[in-house]
Amino acid sequence: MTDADAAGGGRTIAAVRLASGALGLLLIGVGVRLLWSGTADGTPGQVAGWLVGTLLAHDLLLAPLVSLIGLALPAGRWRGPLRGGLLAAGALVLVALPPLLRAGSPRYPTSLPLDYPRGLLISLAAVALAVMLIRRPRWRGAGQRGEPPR
Amino acid sequence: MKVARWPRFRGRLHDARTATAVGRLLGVGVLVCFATGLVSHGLQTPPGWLEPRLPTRPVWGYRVSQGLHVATGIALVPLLLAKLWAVYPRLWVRPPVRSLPHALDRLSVAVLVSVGLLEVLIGLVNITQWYPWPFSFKPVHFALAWVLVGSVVLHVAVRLPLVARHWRRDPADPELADRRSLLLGVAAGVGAVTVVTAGQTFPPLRPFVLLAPRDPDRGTQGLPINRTARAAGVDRAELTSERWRLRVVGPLEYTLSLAELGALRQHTERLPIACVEGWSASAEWTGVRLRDLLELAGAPARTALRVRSAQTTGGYRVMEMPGQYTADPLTLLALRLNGEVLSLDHGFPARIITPNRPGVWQTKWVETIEVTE
Repeated sequence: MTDADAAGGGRTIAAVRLASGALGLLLIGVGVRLLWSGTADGTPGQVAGWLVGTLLAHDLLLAPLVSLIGLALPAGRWRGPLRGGLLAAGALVLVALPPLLRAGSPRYPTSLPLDYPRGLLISLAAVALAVMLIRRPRWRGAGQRGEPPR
Repeated sequence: MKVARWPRFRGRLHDARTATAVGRLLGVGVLVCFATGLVSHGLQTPPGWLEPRLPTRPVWGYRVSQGLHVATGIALVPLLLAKLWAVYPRLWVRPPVRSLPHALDRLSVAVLVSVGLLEVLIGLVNITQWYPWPFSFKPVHFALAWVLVGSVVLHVAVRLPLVARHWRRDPADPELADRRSLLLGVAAGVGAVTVVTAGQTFPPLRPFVLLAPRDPDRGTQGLPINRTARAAGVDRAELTSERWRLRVVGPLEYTLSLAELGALRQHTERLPIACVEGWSASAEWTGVRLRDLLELAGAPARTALRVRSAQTTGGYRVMEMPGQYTADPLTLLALRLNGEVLSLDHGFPARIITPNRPGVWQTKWVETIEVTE
């Protein structure tokens, strides 16, 4: 590859970045216009408030909490499986929260028909079991620590 | 009293390679949600030019696209949070603002993050039919989708050199094994939330529906109910087989009693009900072809219609049906569901069932069918 080729490649990449940046701004503009003119009076301000609130809730509550849990993770062979298990458990709790908080008052009889506390417990137990199984010492033949096969 | 120190992050994996590996999955997820969201918007509230071009096949089209929309949205929960975790230390850079370009960059990231979080949050809460915000969900979710996808495109444009450098893994990277284990954890998160929810639309996963807002197996006559007769404010006294009449208005106008409607040629079709909230279920419907009713009114086969329901509340009392749906032999005015007479909550005496149309337009408690062309 010659320097001229490299410069040409650089120019191409710069052009692609410029074009996609402009496209991104255009799409944002479409959305802002829809938010401004396609909604009821007062909606843009309410949405702005919810955006700021959501951002603060993540940046100042959820993310620090996750970081603290991360600090408590042990080093060594349990670290990876435990981290994966906590990730799955956290995602399950977040997805379960709306039906859990809502369960007492569904709008219609067949909305939210399940026993959500039970569902969450079962799915968390399944995650815990999976972590255990992944970390179970395996029999790998002679010279390896672990249980003999039964 | 100790003054709080500026946070320092010594954790590994808060690096560009992790952000790239999770970010590209997140980007694909956002694009899938955006595309399927546009499909849903087009089918539910089409602009005029699109209305006559909406396809009635495949019959399961909306079922798949909207099921995918909600399932992908749920999968974004662990993906989005993992991506934000990877770049979280960047929030605390010092000095917070170095220059005007740096300030603009930080502002665009704040827009990207806040819109991404809020869009996923309100979508996740909305599918439980809970609306704890002061604004109307649909227009806000639609507008924010454009802002989000635009912010993603802009973000990729700005970070392109960094993304390109970290697109492939570096075999000499000491964090390789640890990062792989983290990515497996993220995949486990995606898998876990998908397995316990996707059964609400994807039959093979139905046994594992533990946390989905709907269970297609729980309902009456083998089908969930989205809106009861009570919630729709229908007058039960008017909807008896003796009193109810169907009025069809075209070049010729006529009314039919339920017995007369039942005496017309009946057809049985298997069609899904697919809801915008991401659940779907297939059922067997028996009734009169809509195009047969049109023929009796002297209207041509591909005629656009307005269908009025006996419900007194809600935004879907009046339904517009473009000509391609009325011409389709699968479109029925159904009297029976899974072999039984429709229950009142399922739309007794008669309801519309159409291939490849959102559930809100499968109008229940039909009273009037008018030709609009």
